[in-house]
Amino acid sequence: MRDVIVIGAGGGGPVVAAELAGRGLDVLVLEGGPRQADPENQWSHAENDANNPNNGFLRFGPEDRSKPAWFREWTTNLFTWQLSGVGGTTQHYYGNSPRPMPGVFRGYAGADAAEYDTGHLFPFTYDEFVPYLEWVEATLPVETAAMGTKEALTFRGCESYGLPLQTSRNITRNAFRPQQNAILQPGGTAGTTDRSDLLAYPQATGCTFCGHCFQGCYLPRQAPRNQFAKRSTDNSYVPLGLSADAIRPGGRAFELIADSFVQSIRHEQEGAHTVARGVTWRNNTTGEIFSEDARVVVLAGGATESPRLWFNSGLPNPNDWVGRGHTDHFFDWVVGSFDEYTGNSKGANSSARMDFPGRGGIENVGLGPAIQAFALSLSDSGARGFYNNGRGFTGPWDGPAGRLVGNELKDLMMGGIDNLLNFLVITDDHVEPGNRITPSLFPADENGAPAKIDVSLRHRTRRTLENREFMVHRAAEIMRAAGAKKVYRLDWAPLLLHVHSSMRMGESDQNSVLDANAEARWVKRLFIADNSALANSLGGPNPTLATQALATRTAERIFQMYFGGDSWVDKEAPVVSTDARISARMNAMGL
Amino acid sequence: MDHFNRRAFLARASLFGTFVGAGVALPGTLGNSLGPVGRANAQTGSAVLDAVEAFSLDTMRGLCVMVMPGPDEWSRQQGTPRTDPGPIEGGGGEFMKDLFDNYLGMGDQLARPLALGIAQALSDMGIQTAPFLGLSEPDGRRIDQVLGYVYSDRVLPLSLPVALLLNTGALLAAPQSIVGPLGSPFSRLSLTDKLRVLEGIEGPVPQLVSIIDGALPVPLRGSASGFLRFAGGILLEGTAFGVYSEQNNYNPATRTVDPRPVPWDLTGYRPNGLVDGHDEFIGYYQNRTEVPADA
Repeated sequence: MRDVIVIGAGGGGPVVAAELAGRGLDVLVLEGGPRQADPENQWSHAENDANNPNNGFLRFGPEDRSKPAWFREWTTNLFTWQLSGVGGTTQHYYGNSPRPMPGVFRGYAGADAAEYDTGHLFPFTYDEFVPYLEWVEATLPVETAAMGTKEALTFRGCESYGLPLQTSRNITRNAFRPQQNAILQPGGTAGTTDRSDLLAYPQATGCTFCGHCFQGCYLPRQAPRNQFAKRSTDNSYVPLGLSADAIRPGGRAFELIADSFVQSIRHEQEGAHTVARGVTWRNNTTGEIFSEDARVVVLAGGATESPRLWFNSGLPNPNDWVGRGHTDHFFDWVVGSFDEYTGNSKGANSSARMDFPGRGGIENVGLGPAIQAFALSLSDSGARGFYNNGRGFTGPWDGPAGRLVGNELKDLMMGGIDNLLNFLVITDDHVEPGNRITPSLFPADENGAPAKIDVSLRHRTRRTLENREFMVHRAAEIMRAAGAKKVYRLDWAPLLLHVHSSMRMGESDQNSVLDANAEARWVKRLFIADNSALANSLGGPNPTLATQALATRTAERIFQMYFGGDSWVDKEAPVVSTDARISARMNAMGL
Repeated sequence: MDHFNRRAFLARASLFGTFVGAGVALPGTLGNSLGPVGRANAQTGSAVLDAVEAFSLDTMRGLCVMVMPGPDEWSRQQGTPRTDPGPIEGGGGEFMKDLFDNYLGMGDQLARPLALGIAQALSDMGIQTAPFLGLSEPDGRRIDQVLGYVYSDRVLPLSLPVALLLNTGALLAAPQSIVGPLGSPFSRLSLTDKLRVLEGIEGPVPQLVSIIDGALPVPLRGSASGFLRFAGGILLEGTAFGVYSEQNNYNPATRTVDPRPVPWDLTGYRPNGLVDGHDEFIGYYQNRTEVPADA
C-alpha cells in the first residue's frame, strides 16, 4: 500500500510526486515510456533521430526503439506531437513559462473581463494562484531569456510596430517582452563558441545556444542532470523528487518505475461514491502485469492518455465531459524570409513573445530544416497556387494562405535556414465540447482501446475563430515590421502541442470533470495533475507553468485532505531544483 | 472536384474497363520501377510482394519530389526538373516507405479491411487489383491475402494502402496515367494533378475517401475513412519532415551524421556539422536579466 501513486512522469506528475515526497509520503511514479537516464550518450542533435514518429528517441512508444510506437487514432488532417518517457512533452518544449492571463480566473473584474472564455473559468481567483506560480518559478527556476539574433529581430519588429514592453510577470496589456523561460541563462563559455571542447560543464553553464530545444536538452555536457539548461521535468522535478530526503527534513525519495504502462485505475463503490484504490500496470519489456494499492491516485498521463485510461478503467462519466473540451491554442504559423541573417536555427528556440489579453499571443520559434519544412507543409488551406480547401485567406501576408509545395518550398528552404524567422500564433482557444478524446474502435493494443483524437480546425467557437484571425494579422504585420521581404501564412491544420482541458476542472458540475481541488467529481481519492486538468486554454500563454503551479496546489490539497497535513506554499520557501545537494545525489546515482 | 463524386466515378469505370480489357493494364508497374538506389526492403522471394513493394516505393518517390523536386525522373515527370540535388538519389523514397510501413503498430486487422475497401473501389472502376499491381493471373492473390500472407501481424504496411489511395485518385484525376513511364499512375501525374488527388483526400468533403469508405466493413466504416483523411493530411508534412532531415545519413552506432545530408547543404544548415553550441548570445534586451516577482 503506497500513500500516493502518480500515473505519468510528464509535465505535471513529477511535480505532485516531488512535493509530496518532500512531505515524507511514500510515492510511486509510473511512466509508460522510457527513462532516458544518460541522454548525453543516448540522444543526438539530429532531427530525425530525435523525432521520427516510429523510432525516434522522443516518440510515443515503449523504451525499446525497435518496437512499434503506440497508436492513436486521428480523425482528420492533424498531427499530435505526443511524447512518452520521463519528462513527457517537456522534453520537447521550449521552456516557455509565461503566466496565464488573469482574465481566465473566477472573479476577474478588469475592463476586458468579457473578452475571455467566461463560460469556462478557473474555479478560484488569480490572486489565489499567484503564490503557486511564484513557487514553481523559483523551483525550476524560471529566468528572463537571453537574446540571440532572432530575438533581436523580433524585438525590432515589435518596436517598429509600436507595441510597448511588458515589465511585469503578470500579463496586463498588449505588449512584448523577453520570454520568462525555464532555461538556465548562459554562463562561462556558453553562448560564445561553437567548439564542443569548450562547452563542457563547469566551464560552460546554462544554455549553450545549441538550437536543439526540440530534440531534448542534455547540455552543457558533463553537467549533473539537474544542471541541464532546459528545465524539463526530467531535469528539474524528477531530480528534486529523487533527492527529497536530502533537501527536506522528513522527506522521502520517490520511487520511479519507467517503461511501465498503466492499464487501469482500480476502484470500488463505497456508499454513494466510487473510490480509487490502486492501479494495474504492464512492464513493456517483459509483459509482466503488476498491481499496487494506494491511498490516493494521481492521474497525469496527459490530455490524450488521461481520458483514455479513464474510459478503459470503466470509471463513471455521468455528465459526459470526460475527454471533452480539448483545447490546443488553435495555432497558426507565419514565416518571414529575410535578406539578412536571422539565426533561426541557433539559440534557445523561443525567447521572445507578444501577448494580447483577450486574444492570445505570439512567440518566435527557431527551427532546423526538417521541422521547418514540416511547418511550411502543414495547412488546412491546401497548397498555395493550386487549391485552397475553401480557405486560402488573404491578408497582410503575401499571396493566399496555404502550404508551400514544389519549387516554391524548395526555393524558400534554399534561401537559407538562417534567413527565415518564424512566429507561432497562440490563440485564446475557448472550450468547445465537440473537440474531444474518445476510445477508438480500431483494434486495441496491449493496454486497451487507444485514444481517438477528434479535434477539428473548423470546429471552434465564433470567438476563437475571431481571435485567431486577429492574432495572425498582428503576427504578419509585426513580421513585416521586423524587416521580412516576404511573409507567408500557413493556416496550420491542428498541430497538437499545447493540449489542455480534456479533463477540465470547473465551477459547474455540468461541464467539468474535476472540482476546485482537482479531485474527480465522481471518484474520490483520484486527482488529475496534467494539462487536462486546466479549466481552459489560459487565454493563450503556454500551459506548462500553469499546469505545474496547479499541480503544486493539488499536492497541497491531497496532503491536507487525506494525510492530515498542512499547506506549505504560504509558509515555506521552495528548494531550487539546481540545488547542490540534488547535484550530489544525481552524481551518486550516476545520473 | 467533380471527378471524385460517385456519379463521375461510376461513369469512368467503363473507360477503365476498356483499358484493362484491351490488355494495356499498366505496363511498367513491374520491373521498371527500381530506381537508382534499389529497393527499400530485401527481396522477399515472393513475386507478388516484390511487385507490391516496387509499386509502393515508386509512389513514395512521386510523393517526395512534391516537396523537394530534383534532377530525377520523378521530378521530370511531375514537370519540375531541377539541377540541384533532390531526395531520390539519397534514398528519400525508401525512407518514406519505411516510415509508413513501420508507423502503425497493428497488423492485418486494419490492413485487410483497408486494402479490401480500396480494392473494391478499383474493382468498381473495372480494374482488378491484380493487374493494377502488375501481377500475373496465377499470382493474382488479393491484396489482403498478400498482406496477411507475408507481413507479420505486428505492423501495418501502411505504404500500400497509402499508395493505393493515391493511385486510385490518380486514375480518377487523370485517366491517361494508367499507362506511361515509371511504376505507378500517381508518379506519372503533373504536380498540378498530384495536388488534385491530395485535394480529393483532404478537402472539407473528402470525396475520394468516401468512395473507399463505402466499401469498408462495419464497424471500420467511418473510423477508417477518418484515418485515411489523417493520412491524406500527413502525406506532405510527413514527407517534408523526412526528406529535409538527415534521414538515412545518421549512424545510430556512432551517433554521427555521415555523409553530409543533402538538405543541410541546400539550406546552409550546420556548416561544420552538429555542434553543442553557437556563439549566438548577444546579451539581454535592454539589459533586463530578471523580472521581480512583484513587478
